[in-house]
Amino acid sequence: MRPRFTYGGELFLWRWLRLTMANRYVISPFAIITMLAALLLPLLLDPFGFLILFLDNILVFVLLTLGLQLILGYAGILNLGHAAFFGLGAYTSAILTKTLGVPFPLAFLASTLMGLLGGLLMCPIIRLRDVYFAMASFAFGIVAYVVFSEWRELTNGHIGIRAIPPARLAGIDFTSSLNFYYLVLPCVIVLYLVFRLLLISPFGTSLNAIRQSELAARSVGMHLAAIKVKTILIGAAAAGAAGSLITHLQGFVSPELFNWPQSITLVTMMVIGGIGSFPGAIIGTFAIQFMSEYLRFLVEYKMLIYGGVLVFFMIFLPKGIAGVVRALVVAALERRSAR
Amino acid sequence: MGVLTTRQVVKRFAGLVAVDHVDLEVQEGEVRGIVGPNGAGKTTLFNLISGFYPVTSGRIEFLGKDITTTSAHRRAGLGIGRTFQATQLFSEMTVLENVATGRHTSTRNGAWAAVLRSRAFRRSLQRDRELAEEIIDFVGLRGTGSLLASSLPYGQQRLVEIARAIVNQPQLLLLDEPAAGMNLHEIEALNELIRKINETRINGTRVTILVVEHNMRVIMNISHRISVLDFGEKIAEGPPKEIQQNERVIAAYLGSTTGGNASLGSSTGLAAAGGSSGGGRAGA
Ligand SMILES: Nc1ncnc2c1ncn2[C@@H]1O[C@H](COP(=O)(O)OP(=O)(O)O)[C@@H](O)[C@H]1O
Ligand SMILES: [Mg+2]
Repeated sequence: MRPRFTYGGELFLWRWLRLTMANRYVISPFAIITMLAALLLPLLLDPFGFLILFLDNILVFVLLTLGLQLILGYAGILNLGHAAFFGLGAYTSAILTKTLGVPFPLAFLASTLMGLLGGLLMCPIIRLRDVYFAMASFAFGIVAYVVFSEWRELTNGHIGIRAIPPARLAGIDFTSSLNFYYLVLPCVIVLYLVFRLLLISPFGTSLNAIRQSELAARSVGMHLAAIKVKTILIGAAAAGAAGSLITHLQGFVSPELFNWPQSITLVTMMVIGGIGSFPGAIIGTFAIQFMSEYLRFLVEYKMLIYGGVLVFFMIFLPKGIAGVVRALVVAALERRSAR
Repeated sequence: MGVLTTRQVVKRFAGLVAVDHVDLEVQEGEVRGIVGPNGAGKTTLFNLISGFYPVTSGRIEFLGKDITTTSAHRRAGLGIGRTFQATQLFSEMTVLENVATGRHTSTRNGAWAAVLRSRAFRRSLQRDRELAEEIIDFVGLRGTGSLLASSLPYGQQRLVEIARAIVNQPQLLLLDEPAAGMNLHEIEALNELIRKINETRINGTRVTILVVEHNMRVIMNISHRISVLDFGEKIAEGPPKEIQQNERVIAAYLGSTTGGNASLGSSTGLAAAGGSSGGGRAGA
């Protein structure tokens, strides 16, 4: 018998690529391979080394960027205040676990809910269009930052809250970077799967429809405001959960992490990775986090560099790295089928 | 029964009165033509009826119910379908996907149903696709389902829009210049299609159609009655033969210097259509 590396004479790899590009999978083989690789990756790394802690941090940010991708890339809403939800979640978890001694799982849920509540607070501005919404959401983020830094009784102001107890769940302590990795990775995977399912649902169709023609979307009975509100709530809840995780990963919170540059950084991640693509959001998160880690000496110029990068990508690579990869794969597929 | 009634409907844009105290009474199964020079307020009237703009004053009734303050998405759900003067397609979607979105208000929309992918949910998606296929055939686009909507020639894109507007079986259909950008063959087919839609029975009642069109051959051919707008006001109304000879209508068209389209604002277009149909005040 022939070895089964082919499918109707076609190598599996090419078939997978072709069907992935045609968006025929709910979960593509590449997504599954990536998840498995991510699950096994720590076996290759020094469990006490820096890299795994770094990955923990990136994965928390992936929760943020996946949510923001839904809002920005799919609903087309330029949210420049996403870090506010992140901060709401972080402070909720910090205050609940440290001051009130609430166990982590409850605090995590509360943070998610607080993120959602933050999303609700953003809703009144959802009717603003384009640049007006962008400006209002930017202001929203600044207001949140002022609350984090000035409501000293609750947040301890600029000094922040320190010595936050580590995450514990079902008797497992997530202090070590390795353990934490296996706390945050399932969160990322679950969020990704839920988003994929949402996108192939009528809700996802509505999102795509609204982005392509608001008029036509309204004419077939889509309730634009409701759909936009839902994406913001979902993204905000994910950001709240991410906030809880970052709190317990770092063991402290301070307002700077949730100021407006963070929101802009998140949008930069979208643009670099590729607006409208979940893999793109993940790629962009890695790219920016690596950049800011290995170009630490440039920290003073961080926002300046991001600005330059933003402009460069907007002009030359508007679909980001994911768009470039996609174009290359499509070209390769076409060359093959032409043969 | 009156399917659509507008009472003294007004739409004002900062100083400009785009629709000025318009009364309409459209009967079930009627094809009503709406004509008038450019800027007369026809599209604005459609936007008021479909809920895209709120009225400044006046009242709109659909199937006997007051819908004046009902939002656009609800009106779509109630059974008002529409197309746009400038084609509005979902350009990254296939023809089939475009048409299937027309089923939005009838599809199971619960987020949980979607995430859990229940049997009933999947069946309802399947049904949307089947209906969309059927309607694509119905409008004469058989075989284009899997193509990107934006890759079709312009005339066919207009048909996709119509398909999307009728797949959910609206009782009232608003067509805004459907023949614009179509060639002669396509216009012939469009005439036929509008008649076919009008003759379709939904729960035993015929589809009522409002159509704005500058092409006089189309409008005179398919309309049971025609309403004429000029500067937002309704200046005439009646069967096509009467309208062709109405003094005020002819004056309005002659007075319009902005009529771009050959057969749109020009008096010759109107006269030619009048001549070809034999004239005579049959309705009088
Ligand atoms: N959204 C709007 N804002 C301001 N003025 C508008 C708007 N829509 C239409 N108008 C004005 O209302 C008038 C009627 O326009 P419209 O309904 O598009 O005319 P028609 O479809 O008969 O050509 C025009 O003078 C147009 O400029
Ligand atoms: Mg118009």
